Amino acid sequence: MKLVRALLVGAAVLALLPGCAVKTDYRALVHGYIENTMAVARAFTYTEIHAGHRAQVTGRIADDLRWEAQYTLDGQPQTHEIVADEARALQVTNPALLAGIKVAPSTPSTGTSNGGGTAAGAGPTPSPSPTPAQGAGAVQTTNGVAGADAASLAALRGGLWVEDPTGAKSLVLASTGGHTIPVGVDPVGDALRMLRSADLALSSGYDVRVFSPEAGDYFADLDPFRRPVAGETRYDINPAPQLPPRTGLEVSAAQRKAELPPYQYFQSLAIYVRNGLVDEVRESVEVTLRLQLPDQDLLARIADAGYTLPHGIYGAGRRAQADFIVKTLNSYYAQLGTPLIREHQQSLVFSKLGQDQGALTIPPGLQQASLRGIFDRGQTLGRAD
Amino acid sequence: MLAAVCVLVAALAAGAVYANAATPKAATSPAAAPSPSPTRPALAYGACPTPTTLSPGARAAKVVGGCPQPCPALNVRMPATMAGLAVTREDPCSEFRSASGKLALDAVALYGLRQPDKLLMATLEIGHFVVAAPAGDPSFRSAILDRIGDSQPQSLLVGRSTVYVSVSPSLVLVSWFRQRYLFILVLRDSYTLPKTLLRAALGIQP
Repeated sequence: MKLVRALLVGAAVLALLPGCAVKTDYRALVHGYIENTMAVARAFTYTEIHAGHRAQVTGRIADDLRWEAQYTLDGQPQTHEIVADEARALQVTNPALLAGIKVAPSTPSTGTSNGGGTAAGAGPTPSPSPTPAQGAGAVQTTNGVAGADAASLAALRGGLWVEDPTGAKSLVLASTGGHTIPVGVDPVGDALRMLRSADLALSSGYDVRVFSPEAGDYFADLDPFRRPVAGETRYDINPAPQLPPRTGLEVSAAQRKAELPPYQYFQSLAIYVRNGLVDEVRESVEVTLRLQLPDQDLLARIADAGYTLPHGIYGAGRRAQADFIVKTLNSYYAQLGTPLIREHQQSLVFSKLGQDQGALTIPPGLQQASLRGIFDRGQTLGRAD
Repeated sequence: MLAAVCVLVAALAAGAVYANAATPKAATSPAAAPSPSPTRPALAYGACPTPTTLSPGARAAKVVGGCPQPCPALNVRMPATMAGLAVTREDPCSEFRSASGKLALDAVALYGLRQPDKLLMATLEIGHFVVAAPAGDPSFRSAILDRIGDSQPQSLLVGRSTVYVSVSPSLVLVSWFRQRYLFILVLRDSYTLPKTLLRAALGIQP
């Protein structure tokens, strides 16, 4: 009995020692919550605040093949899009979004994208799955043909709806060719991809923790996210990023450049979970927050890497320092071909999780034409397991 | 010559049996184009070497032992058409052998889906797991999915079902599990209504 009691006391003491606590890996848990959420119908509101502008996308997802999204910028309607199985319908309220889209050199005046395979002769050649847009309304090449249908562009510029009956036929997730699609280029795509991006961040080696205001490295004034409300659990991804220590002067310039922070250093994510489902995802990329960390040495690292610091930068305000850091690091990231820093606040809020989203069909009687090359992002929802 | 094919996938844990019928008896229209092809070569298990049991052009079975059995057919109520394609029952595998308890499937059905001009645009294969197969086990399912197609499976939510998509040259393969059944829908990648057809196939209740 004395031995048993001693063991129990010893176990209790050990449990109280921080160094002996079992560290829980929340990655798998949060991944499970994300999977649960991807497996149900849901409504959503996506917001991105960047450079003083507010892009918002509201929509509903019945399943991965049927969704609807409305995009506004600073409160002004921009686009309205519906995808229902193979068919895709689009209305563009702001014709400026179509400015960068070129007309295909010889597009048929009628017919649809990805058509064919049945009757001989008529219609365009069936095309493979389109790759995602790299810029707002950017032209994508499919089957080696660049450009969009002239009739479609004309109708869209007039604010009309256009339906492409086979514009979304691909079942295969659109490939990005290994490149990250820059946020802000395609807000509807950003909204649809954000949950999957959060899932990918979990497998990127980031630290994942349950939010706790009592944590030793938590600074309330540096927290860009709201606190969880009753019944909600918040999981933070990359809450306290670390950089490798700066080395001495005996290393090469290339090695010193390797000590520059990657863009992920400035990125924080929070996932809010209620009843086993994600009800909100937030991302913050804000250089000024990292400049407030007690042990940060960002400007020194940039100087170590051979960049000239502007005179007086150490005495300048954090915003000026942040602007310099973003400009300098992005010039370096551009050479590497890695994602650039885009300071912003993103949020994706879900509602009506698991509920019937109502009939999600394309209204009848729309003008039918090819939408190939016009905000053509392919199969966006789904998971590459 | 139209060749319907059969793709049967079995558990890794319980032993694997694949059957592949290269030339079914259902060949009809001379205008038909080559059909969707199988995703993996067959590994026959427990087949008998009797020459008359092998269809012309079929892959030779590795003889392990056991006697040939009739192909255990799965009876499924199918509509006459799906997404505008005519549904016809095909001979699933003339070499299917039910040689031992290690088989994960005990019944199969194969349907061809053809355009009015008889061009085969898709096939739907349905297999029933034996009682001993851990049909609901995620790792069992994962092992099966890894053998379908030439790419890592991607998952999609369609209605309330999760389906798994992979590709092979010129083909898209969509698989899903329902209770103790495995469904594999194989489509030409040129087919214009794959999602409509998939939804129709998801409505099939064996």
